[in-house]
Amino acid sequence: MIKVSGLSKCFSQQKVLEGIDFEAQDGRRVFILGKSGSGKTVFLKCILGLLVPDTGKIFIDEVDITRLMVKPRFKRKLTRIRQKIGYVFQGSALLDSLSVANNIALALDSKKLPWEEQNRIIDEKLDLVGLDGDVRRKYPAQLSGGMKKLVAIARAIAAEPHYIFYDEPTTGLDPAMIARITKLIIELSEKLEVTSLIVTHDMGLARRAGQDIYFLKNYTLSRPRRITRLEELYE
Amino acid sequence: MVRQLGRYVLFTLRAFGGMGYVLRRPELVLKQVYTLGLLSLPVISFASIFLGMVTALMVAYQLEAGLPKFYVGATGGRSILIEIAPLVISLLVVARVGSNITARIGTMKVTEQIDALETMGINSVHYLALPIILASIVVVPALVIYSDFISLVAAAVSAKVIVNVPTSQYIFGLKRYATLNDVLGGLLKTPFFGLAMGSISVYYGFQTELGAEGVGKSVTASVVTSAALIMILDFIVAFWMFR
Repeated sequence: MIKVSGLSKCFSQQKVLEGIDFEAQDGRRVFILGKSGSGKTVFLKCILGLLVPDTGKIFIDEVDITRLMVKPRFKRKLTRIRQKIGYVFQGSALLDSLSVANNIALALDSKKLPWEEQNRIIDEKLDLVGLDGDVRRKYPAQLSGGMKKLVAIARAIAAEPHYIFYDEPTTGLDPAMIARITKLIIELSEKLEVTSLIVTHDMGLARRAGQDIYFLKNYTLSRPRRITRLEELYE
Repeated sequence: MVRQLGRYVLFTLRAFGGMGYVLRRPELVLKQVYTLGLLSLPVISFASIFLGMVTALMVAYQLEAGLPKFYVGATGGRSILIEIAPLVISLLVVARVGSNITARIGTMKVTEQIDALETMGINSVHYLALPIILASIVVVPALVIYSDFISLVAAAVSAKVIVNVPTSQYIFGLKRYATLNDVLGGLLKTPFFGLAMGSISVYYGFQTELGAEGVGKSVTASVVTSAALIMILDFIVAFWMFR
């Protein structure tokens, strides 16, 4: 379970998040909706420990990771917590210099598996996201935006995480690919029994795949009573 | 400035903390040796030929007063070994390789590839920075040794063809006056040049912010700082060895 209490974050004088309380129950698909620039990605990066919050506490599986972020001697503990999380970046963030197979293998780096076992996992995860084996030798520059996103999802699930974070998973994709990613988010959360945390401004995606929905506005999170009234929150 | 220097030193120490990780993955360093070293050979060869030729011409020009011709080998050869090849080749490596490293890592930073490594539990400084620093420490001396050889041969050829200094005279001058101290004085500083270039280039790459413009700024800062530090180190070694 992920629990956040009293989280605040500023950049210089610019307030981004203030006093956020949040909970993601195990196995749920939790959506955080908000306009561009509302602080959704900052919120995700704080939970991952990529950004250190100014105040507040973040618990992942009851471990207070805000305590681990500030002291270098806890770096290993923080790394172990991060390995429970698969992150799908908005721009996919595949390493340009590595092939698709090696990008996915990076997620298995800490497991020190033999290459044959890594290969098996890479094929399995590519199959799970609906990509065929031919793609494994390609480099990110040779892939379309949608395929990059699918490879990023394969990489995120390679180490069998407990949580998958999606940062704007459907941005910049065509309708067919949006439908495919939406279906995949639902399938993965059910098949792998993971907790999914999705930040997006895509109302359609939230409506189709969301179980718990939060709205980030004026630096803080709120829960709308009904999904049908989501649009009103943008006003 | 002091804060920046402190950050740079801490960053470099942090990178060397990943020695165990890199020793278990030597392919990371070998890949960088190939990228930074072998792929630089054409431009280093080209530069070395012209360095050797122009050095021979300049020395011959200064010997017009009637000094013996073997001085072209003695003075020109020693200058190449002690100063010209190490300094010019190191600066050329900064321009070709250092800028490439900063741009590559800076782009990885602004496109969140470095964040992606961290989320997968990979220490990005150990994975990206240390292999480059170690490769630079090995590659710069190797390129300078290669350049020494090419430049000396080019100087001998140009001395013979352009200013009519017999090759035997050139070799006599070189063998008679160039000492082991000259060769070592030229080579000993090059691993430090490599360390400076590699560590500064990755440091500025990791400091990159604000998209393409940030990458441009980092590359400029990295090249200027590396070149300045190499010249300072060059003076320190010269003062220590040849004073």
